[in-house]
Amino acid sequence: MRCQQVEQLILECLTEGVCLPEEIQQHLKQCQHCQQTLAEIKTVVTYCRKETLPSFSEDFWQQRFLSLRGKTVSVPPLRFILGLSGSVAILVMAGLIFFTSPGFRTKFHHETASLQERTLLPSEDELFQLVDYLKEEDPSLGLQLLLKN
Amino acid sequence: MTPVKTDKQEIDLDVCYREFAPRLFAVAYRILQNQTDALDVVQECFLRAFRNRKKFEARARVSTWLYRITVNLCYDLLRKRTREKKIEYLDNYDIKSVPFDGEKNLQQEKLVGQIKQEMKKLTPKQRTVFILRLYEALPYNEIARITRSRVGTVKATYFQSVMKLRRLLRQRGVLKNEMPAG
Ligand SMILES: [Zn+2]
Repeated sequence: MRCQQVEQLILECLTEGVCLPEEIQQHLKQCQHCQQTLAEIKTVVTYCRKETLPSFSEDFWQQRFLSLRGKTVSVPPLRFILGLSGSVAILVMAGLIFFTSPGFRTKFHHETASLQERTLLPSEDELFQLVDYLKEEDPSLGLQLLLKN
Repeated sequence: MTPVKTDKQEIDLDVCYREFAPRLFAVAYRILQNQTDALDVVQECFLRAFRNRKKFEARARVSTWLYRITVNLCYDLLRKRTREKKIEYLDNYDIKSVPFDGEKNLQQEKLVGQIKQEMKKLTPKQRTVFILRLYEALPYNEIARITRSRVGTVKATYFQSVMKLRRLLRQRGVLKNEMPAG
C-alpha cells in the first residue's frame, strides 16, 4: 500500500470516526511518515470539531420563521398588484397624452377636412358628363367650361 | 422529506425550516464566520426556495437543494466582501470558542483558535467541502451535488483542504508537539 493511499484512508477513518483497518495498522507499524500523518490529521480533525457555534433557542427560530412566512405571503401578490396597476396607469397616461395633444387634434381636423374636400369635388368622369350635358343644352357654354377645367 | 408543494406550502415550509434552518446556519456561519450574515443567508435561502419551489418538484432531496442555495448565497457574500475590499479578517467577528477548564484546556482553546485562523486561508470551495464533510458529515455524492462537482473532485478537495490546514499549522509551529520523535 502506498503512503498517499494510506493518508487518504486515515483521513476517511478519522472523519467517519471508525477504527483503522488492519491493513493500515500494519503499514503504520513500519512507516514513520504515515505515523506522523495520523497524529497530525488526528489533531486537525479533533480540534476543528471542538469549535462551537452560537446557539439559538427554538423560540428564536420560531420568530425567524414567522417573519419569513410574512414575506412569503405578502411579497408575490404585492409585486403582481404593483406591476398590474403600474401598467394600467402607463396605458391611461399614454392615451390621455396622445388624444389630447395639439398635434393630434390638428392632424385629426386636417385629415377630416381633406376627406370632406375630396368627397365634395367631382371626379373626371363626372366633369365630362357635365360638359357633355351642357354641350347639348348650350354648345358655347360647354366649350367654355371645358376650356376652364 | 417531501418537496415544498403549493397546496401544503405553510406546513412544508414550517417543517423544512424547523429541520434545516439551524443546520444551514451552521454551514453559513462556518463559511462566513459572521453571525448576522449567516442568519440573513438562512432567511434568504428559504425565501428563494419558497419562490422557486415549482422548479424543485423533480429533484430528489430538499436538503441538497437548500444546502446548495445556502452555499451559493455565501459565495455571493464573500465575493461582495472582496469587491468592497471588506474582507474583515474575522478577528473582529463574534467567534466563540469552547469554554475550557484549567491550564491544559487554555492551550487547547488556543489551538482551536489557531486552527480557525488557518481555516480562513482555505479557498471558499475548499472551506465549503471541508465544512460539509467534517461538520455536516455529508457523503461525498451529496457534497458533489451541492457544489456541482464530481465525486472524485470533492474527495480530492477534502483531502487537499485537510493537508493544507496541516501544512499551515506546521508552519505556525502548532503541530510541532504532535510529531513523533525521530
Ligand atoms: Zn506510509
